[in-house]
Amino acid sequence: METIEISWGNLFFGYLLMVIPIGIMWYYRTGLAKDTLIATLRMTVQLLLMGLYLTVLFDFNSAWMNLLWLLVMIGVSTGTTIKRSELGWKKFAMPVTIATVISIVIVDGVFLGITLKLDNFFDARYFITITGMILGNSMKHNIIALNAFYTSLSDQKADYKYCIANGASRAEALKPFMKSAIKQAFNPQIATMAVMGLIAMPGTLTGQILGGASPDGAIKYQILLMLAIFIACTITVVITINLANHFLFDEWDNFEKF
Amino acid sequence: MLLSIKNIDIGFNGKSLISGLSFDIEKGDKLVFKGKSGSGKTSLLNMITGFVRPTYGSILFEGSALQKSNLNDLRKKLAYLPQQLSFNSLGVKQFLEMPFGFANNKGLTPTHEKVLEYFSIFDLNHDLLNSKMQEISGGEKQRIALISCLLLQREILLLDEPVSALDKNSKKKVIDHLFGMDDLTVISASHDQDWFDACNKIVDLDTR
Repeated sequence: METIEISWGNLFFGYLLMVIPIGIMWYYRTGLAKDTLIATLRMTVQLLLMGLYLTVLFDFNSAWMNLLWLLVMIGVSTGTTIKRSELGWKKFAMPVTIATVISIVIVDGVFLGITLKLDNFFDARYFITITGMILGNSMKHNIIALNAFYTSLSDQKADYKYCIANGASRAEALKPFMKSAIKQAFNPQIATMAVMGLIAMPGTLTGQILGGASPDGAIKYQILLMLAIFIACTITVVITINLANHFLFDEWDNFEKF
Repeated sequence: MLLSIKNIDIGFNGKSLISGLSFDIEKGDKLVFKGKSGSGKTSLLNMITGFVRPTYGSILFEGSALQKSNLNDLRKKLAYLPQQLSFNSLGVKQFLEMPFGFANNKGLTPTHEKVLEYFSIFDLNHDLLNSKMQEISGGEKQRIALISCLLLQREILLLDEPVSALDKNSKKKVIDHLFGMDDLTVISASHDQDWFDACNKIVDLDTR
């Protein structure tokens, strides 16, 4: 199956249609019209750059170069997570980085090494794309979970103190906050998985079919990615919070400002 | 001596809140920290639970300086009622059961009859056990939280504003019950005159 090439001229009509949502944003004075415009421009520039660096990475297909890309992406993902969660660099940089690395090692190890049985584990076509999906999703879930955990802990300090002073270990006292953070971070993902294939065409499946793959093969990749993302996100969130707590609490179970 | 506070200073972010304060607490004492808002009453309760450490001075627990090594021994002897509990996602019954799920409190789980007995003592409707914590009034929540502390059967109760949301009648029931337990040590922070009148020791932070 041949994929239809999209010319920039034809894509322009797609951009033109953005007048409708931007017009709606402006009409209702949402203050989002300018943001939408900037986001559209940023998306275009960033994807163009991505196209360039992916072409270079795919052409070279060097394990070292791909690993270097991974390190840069982990750095960007850690930075974004900490910035968006409004947490301190000093205490969170290491936990977020370690958690991300552990989840990538486990998930890539299983899915690239065992499921796909790649001859070249660092083959750019698989390593870059699948790891990129995992990183992006882990970052998103980590931001939600970290926000939920530390905001509720800060707001409900009395509940934490009640538990500690009334016999709880630190882990026991933090369990309700962890439960709430995990629920907030993963409920949408669980809902997405539960209706996948029923009411929405998943991204990977659509991309693969548009790229000429058979629906049967595309579905397997979609399942692989959904599993990989869910597992990686869970590992990242749980390790990040547990590691960070080692630096945030003193031996008297007091926590410092985040 | 159960607790001896010797010449302590408490401060936050370089600002002094309390300086040179000393007092002793013996078993069975009913002590209250009195003072205007921001005078350090809650900080003193937090100091005894180990959540705030004095910048100077010492806390002696049964004659030994309070350190990490004996902090857990102290925490096992006390029950603490903070001022603004939430636990909004829990039901009342779940909330009362929660502390008994902690490893340190295994074997202390109270009978249903004991829980209902406290509900009767503090004039609470037994049906409240089926309510959510977020559905009940401030006064009901305060009494239920106090019951959760009493069910732990500790020697020391640390209570932060324990009667602030109670009407006269409910307050009298709480005071009559707690102050009728001679062996129970109560360390509290309050603004309430009836509470001051019932205590045998007052640490007035405004007149220092």
